[in-house]
Amino acid sequence: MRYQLDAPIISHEQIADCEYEITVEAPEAARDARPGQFVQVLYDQSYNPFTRRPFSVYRVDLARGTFSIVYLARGVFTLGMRRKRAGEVLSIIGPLGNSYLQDARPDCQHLLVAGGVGAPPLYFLASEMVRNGMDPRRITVINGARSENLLVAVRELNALGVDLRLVTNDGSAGATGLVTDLLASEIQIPQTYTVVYTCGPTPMLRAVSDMCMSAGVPCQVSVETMMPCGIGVCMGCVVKIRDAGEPDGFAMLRSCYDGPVFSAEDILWE
Amino acid sequence: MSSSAAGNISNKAARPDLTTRLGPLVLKNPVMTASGTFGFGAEWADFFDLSRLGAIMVKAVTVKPRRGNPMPRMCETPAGTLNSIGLQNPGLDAFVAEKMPYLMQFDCPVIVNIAADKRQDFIVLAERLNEVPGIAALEMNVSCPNQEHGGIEFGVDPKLLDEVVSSVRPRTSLPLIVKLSPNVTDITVTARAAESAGADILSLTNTFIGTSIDVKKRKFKLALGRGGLSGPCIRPLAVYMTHRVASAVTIPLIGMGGICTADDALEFILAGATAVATGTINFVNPDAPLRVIEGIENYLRDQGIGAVSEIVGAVRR
Ligand SMILES: Cc1cc2nc3c(=O)[nH]c(=O)nc-3n(C[C@H](O)[C@H](O)[C@H](O)COP(=O)(O)OP(=O)(O)OC[C@H]3O[C@@H](n4cnc5c(N)ncnc54)[C@H](O)[C@@H]3O)c2cc1C
Ligand SMILES: Cc1cc2nc3c(=O)[nH]c(=O)nc-3n(C[C@H](O)[C@H](O)[C@H](O)COP(=O)(O)O)c2cc1C
Ligand code: FES
Repeated sequence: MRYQLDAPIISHEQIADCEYEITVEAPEAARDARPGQFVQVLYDQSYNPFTRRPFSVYRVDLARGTFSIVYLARGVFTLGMRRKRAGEVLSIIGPLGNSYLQDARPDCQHLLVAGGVGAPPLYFLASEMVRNGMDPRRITVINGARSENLLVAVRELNALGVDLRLVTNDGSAGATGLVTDLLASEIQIPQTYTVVYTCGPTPMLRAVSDMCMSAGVPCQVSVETMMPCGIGVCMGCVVKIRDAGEPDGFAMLRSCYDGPVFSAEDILWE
Repeated sequence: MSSSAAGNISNKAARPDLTTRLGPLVLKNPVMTASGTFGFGAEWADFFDLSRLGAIMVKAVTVKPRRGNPMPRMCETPAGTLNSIGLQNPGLDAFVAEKMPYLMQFDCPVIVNIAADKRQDFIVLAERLNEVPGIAALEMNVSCPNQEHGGIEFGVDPKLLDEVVSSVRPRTSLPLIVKLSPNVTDITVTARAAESAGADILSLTNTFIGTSIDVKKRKFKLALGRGGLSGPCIRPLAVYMTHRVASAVTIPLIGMGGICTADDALEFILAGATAVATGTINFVNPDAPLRVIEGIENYLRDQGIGAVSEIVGAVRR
């Protein structure tokens, strides 16, 4: 079920450089949300900004009926959102889209690859896996950002007890380099059956997908596109997806409705 | 038509009559959802019961399936959006087989928006849909490039418009709506052309052609280099065009362009539209059409007006 509601803001805090976490009370949406799903957010009805923006569900607290999102303040919408205070409301539609599918093989090693503000849905995925009784040692998270002060969810991932590897472009935390540098060593000689789940900026997603495909490792990708409506009606968010049943072997699917999570081997990057 | 009910106290408590007569088409209220902003209805299942709408105008249907234009296809502009979706839709056969059965569950007239780049395709669409049960009317989207005439839009040339509407008219017994393009010098000329070619109803307006440039990347924001502007930013233009067309033709009008609230809708009605449609706002507030229906009802009650039909074109100078 997708809800349109005015959710009271419980807290709104800066968690890193230009990055903020907003927690809202929305018990039904929190209950229904699956890892990888997102909400369409609007904080003002002044037509500026006019359209909603998508943000992934991050931390869900079922007991309190809340969930949070993390956002990077980078443009007109997200810079303006910093003004919202606890006690005010955030208009949300959600949860929306499909979700990551947890591979069911008991011997599976789950490899979560996050870039910047791609970390929130992967934290949600890891926390659901652990909550459902998975041994956290079966989960490896590669969490990367340009530098330490842009990394998201480090403390939270550590608290889950997963195998957390940090990487920053400037070496200010963890390894120096890119998430793909760490990924290479993980999947080149896979010791065990491994599945990759990834979210982050598009160039990173492409690189991760390519590496997984050449290594024969299944990879679920949460794509980032514009999402003018987020509810499947505008056709402004489509991605080219392999489909043998269609002419020329592909279909244009809505990333907000049929995605945002697609299998790496199905995505025809443009 | 406007003055009789004003101040009629006995009417105040009664529920205002929202019944809307668009020539042959009778609706329970004047609020519809504009084509391309509501999909084929199924996406709305969680938000509200479609039976509450005056009518649904579905996404454009073409003879063959269409994949649409390259991405990016949409961007935000001040109080609006630009889009060049390129009529992505599953095509006539899939529409009839897969989309109509869903839509027919609701007590809500279905208006099918048809689009084509050749006259013959409009005829194929009209003839085929004429046989499909559950369709209340056809809306011709004439804002598409005409491939037989060097890509000029059907809707901007009165002669082309007359030709295409005249050839579709005899092929269907359904009420025929022609959706006017605003990208013309004088919209009353194309409005009259559509009327004399046999349109029962006119809808206006479609999107205004525009563009937007990312100055950092020095690139157009849309892959096609241009798109159709919609949303609150076009409302004054669309209300004005509605008012002009209302005095130029005798057939009823469906007004649209930036409607977000009941007051916005009332502007179109007072300007001369018998019915209205919410468009881009559906992306932002999926419940907008319901708010508009409720708001019109409250306005009529507060003003002591018995029926919405009484205020059509009732703007004072
Ligand atoms: C499914 C999904 C989940 C998302 N989850 C998060 C999240 O949890 N946290 C977060 O911070 N962001 C997330 N995003 C991206 C977020 O929606 C954009 O950051 C936001 O739209 C920026 O809006 P703005 O007006 O502030 O910036 P703008 O001024 O619109 O853009 C600033 C910069 O960001 C780029 N951008 C804008 N929108 C998008 C977009 N949708 N995808 C990719 N790049 C974009 C622009 O090209 C520009 O370079 C998500 C996007 C999707 C599709
Ligand atoms: C994303 C998008 C897709 C649209 N698709 C169609 C379409 O398929 N056929 C059509 O006749 N009009 C289409 N329109 C135009 C709308 O139906 C409407 O005429 C226009 O957007 C003005 O109304 P608004 O400002 O309320 O959105 C589309 C508009 C948008 C924003
Ligand atoms: S964002 Fe509108 S269809 Fe996906």
